[in-house]
Parts: sequence; structure tokens; C-alpha cells
Amino acid sequence: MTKQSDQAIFLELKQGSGTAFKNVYQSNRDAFINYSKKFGLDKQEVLDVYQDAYIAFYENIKTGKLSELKCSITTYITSIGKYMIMDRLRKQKKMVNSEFALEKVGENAFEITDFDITPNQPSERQLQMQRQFEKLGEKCRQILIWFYYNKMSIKEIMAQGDYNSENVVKSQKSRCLKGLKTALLVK
Amino acid sequence: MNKDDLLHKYFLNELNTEEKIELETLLINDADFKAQFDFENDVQHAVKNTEKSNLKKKLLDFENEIKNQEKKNTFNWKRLAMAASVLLLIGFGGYNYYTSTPDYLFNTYYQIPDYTTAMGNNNSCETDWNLPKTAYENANYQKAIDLYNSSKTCDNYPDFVDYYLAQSYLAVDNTSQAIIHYKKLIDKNSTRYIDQARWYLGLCYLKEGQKENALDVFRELQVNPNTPNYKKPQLKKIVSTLE
Repeated sequence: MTKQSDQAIFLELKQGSGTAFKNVYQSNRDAFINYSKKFGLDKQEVLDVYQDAYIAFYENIKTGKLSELKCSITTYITSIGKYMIMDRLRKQKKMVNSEFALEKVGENAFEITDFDITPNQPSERQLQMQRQFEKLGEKCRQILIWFYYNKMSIKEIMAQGDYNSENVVKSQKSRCLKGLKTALLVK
Repeated sequence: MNKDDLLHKYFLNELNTEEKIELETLLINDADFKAQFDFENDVQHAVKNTEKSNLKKKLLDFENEIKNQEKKNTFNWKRLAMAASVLLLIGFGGYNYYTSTPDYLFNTYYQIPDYTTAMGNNNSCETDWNLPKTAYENANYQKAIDLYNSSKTCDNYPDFVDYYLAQSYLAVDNTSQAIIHYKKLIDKNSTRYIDQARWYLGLCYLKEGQKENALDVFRELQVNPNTPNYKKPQLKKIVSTLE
């Protein structure tokens, strides 16, 4: 069950509204900090988890993995955050109170495992790639972000980037990838 | 299918079952294809990590804004502390002044409780109280308020409704509504919640800057608790500070 206003905010986030991004962050922050007190993490750690949870929530909207709200925005963020806290506590080998562990994550309206939420540690090769990617020109960076991050089709990229045809988009993308490959070899 | 198209569909999460098998076969049998697949996977990681870092930077900016705002508030405290230092000259300690401010005390002692009530058969309204309970457990306090209010379909609803309603109101900074529900529990002499209601009512008064009312409630709880020793050390400290 979601409120009408949550649906409107969800659409704004999907469209990339900076104001909505900031408002949702601010409006859920204090409640999350309060809620997390029971897990015994310090405030900085809680803020770190909250930010990671918020980013995971936002990214799943942007990539289309979360295409419609099945419960409120607050519930999504809190559930992801709770999952991340449990994960941290387990990694720190801290005891996880059975009461917390038995609590349901979310309201059964969505499966936490459907989300991309556990970041993998990047390999050295991926870190090198990231450095080279950041050195690319704006046009190349943008087309690769649209394709690999926003999962936009060639047609959508054509419209968004004002390209003349799908073939132009494909060749541009291909050139950018070649540029990256060469930069890595030179390195 | 053309190998480029196959990779393309893979990265857009659009492969069907047959295409997935085709991709897996190529990954085993075609070294060039595997190299290109690994390369593009690394590109995807690089793009994702860069975007994630950018988002994290934005959030850190938001946090800095919040900290700056808090500093401004601290500035007000500094001014108050300056006033307090004047009082110091006439006999008050500046530190004592600061640590006895209602805001300071509220922030020190307030913590929202977990949901711990077993609902059992205490269900006079024949309502599914699990819905607001779940909202409360998920820290969705506004939703909990809406659900508790809409679920109170009879007058003799269980005491935990007022208790968690009050907690939810306090969590969303609606202190005046929280006060109403804590008072209801006290007026009803709710065996299960009267101590908690007094404790949080006192905290509400602190939040509202009403020191005297807070002191009255805390004293009453200290002298006449329903559960012996309820919050005894905290009450001792808070009462002596307020006095």
C-alpha cells in the first residue's frame, strides 16, 4: 500500500529530479537514525549504512529493477538499511540478537534479494578501468553511463543524446569502448 | 544471433532462455568472445562505481549542509552559554546550565522503543493490528499513525494502540498529539503502560521546553512507579538535574 504522494515522488526520482533526491534523503534520515539505535552502531556508521541503503534504493529505480512501488518509500529504504546492518554485524562477527534476526525484512511486498545491494570489492583491473573511464570525454562517458548504468536501449540513447540514427549510437559506443581498451593497454 | 547483439542484450538484461544458453556456450568455447565479455563487464563495474561515488559525494554534501545547520544551532547555544557565563559569576555553573537544558536532556534520554507487545486476544475492535505494527517496526511512523487511527473502529481498543500511536507521533515530531495519547494511558491507569507513558510524557514536556511539567511527571514516576525500580537511575539523574 503506497500513498499517492509516494508514487509522485517515485516518478520524480525515476526522472532524475535532484530536488526529490535531496528531499527523500532528508525526510527519512532522522527516522532511520532513531530506528537504528537498537543495533548499537555509532552514528557515523549508521549514517554510512543509511547512505548506502539510499543509494541502492535509488539505483534500483534508475536501472528499472524497481519499476513500481509495492510499499512506501520509507519501508524500502528501512528494509534495505536493516539488511545492510545485519550484514555488517555478521561481518564484524557481532552477535545478532535473535529478536532482530527474526524480524521480517520489509512487509513481504517485495523481496530484498531482488535488489542489487551488496557491492563487490572491485578488482585491480576494474579500478584501473574506473580511472580510465573518468578520463574519457564527456560524450563517451555519457553514452556508456546511459547504456551500462541506466540500461537505456540504443533507441532511447539516440533520442536522449540527439543522435541521427541507431547506427551512429552503436559506432559511437564502440569507439568509446575501443578508446578505453587502448588506454588500458598503454597504461 | 550475432555475437555483438548477444552481448548487447546481455548488458540490457534482455536475454531469453535460449540466448542465455548460447551466451554460456560461447563463453566456454570462444576465447575472443569471453575476453570481450570480461572487458565489458569491467566497463560496467567502472561506470557503476563512478556513478555510485558521485551519488555518495552528493549525500556527503547534504550531510555537510545538515552539519552546518546544526553548527548554526550550536551558535545559538554559544550565545546562551555566554549568557550562562554571566550567570556563572552570580553563582551558576555554565556547564550545569547547558546540561540541564530541556533540549539536552531530551536528546540524552529519548530513544524510540522497539515493538514488544504480544497482541494475544486483546482485540476488542476485531481489527488486524499487525498492519500498523509492521509499519511501526519498519520505522514508517506516519503510516503507523494513519493505520492505528483508521483501525480504531471501537471505543475499547487495547492500550497498546495509544502507546504506539504516542510513540509514532513523538517520532514524527508531533509532540502535542503524543502528549494526548500518553495522558490517555495515565488517565486509564493502564497497568501495562503507565510507567512508560509517564516517562515519555516527561520527555515530551522537555521537548516542549516545559521543565516544571516534566519535573512533576518524573517525580510522580520516581515516587510511585507501577513496576518497582522502573528507570530508577535515569530518574534520579534527570530529577536532580532539573531541580
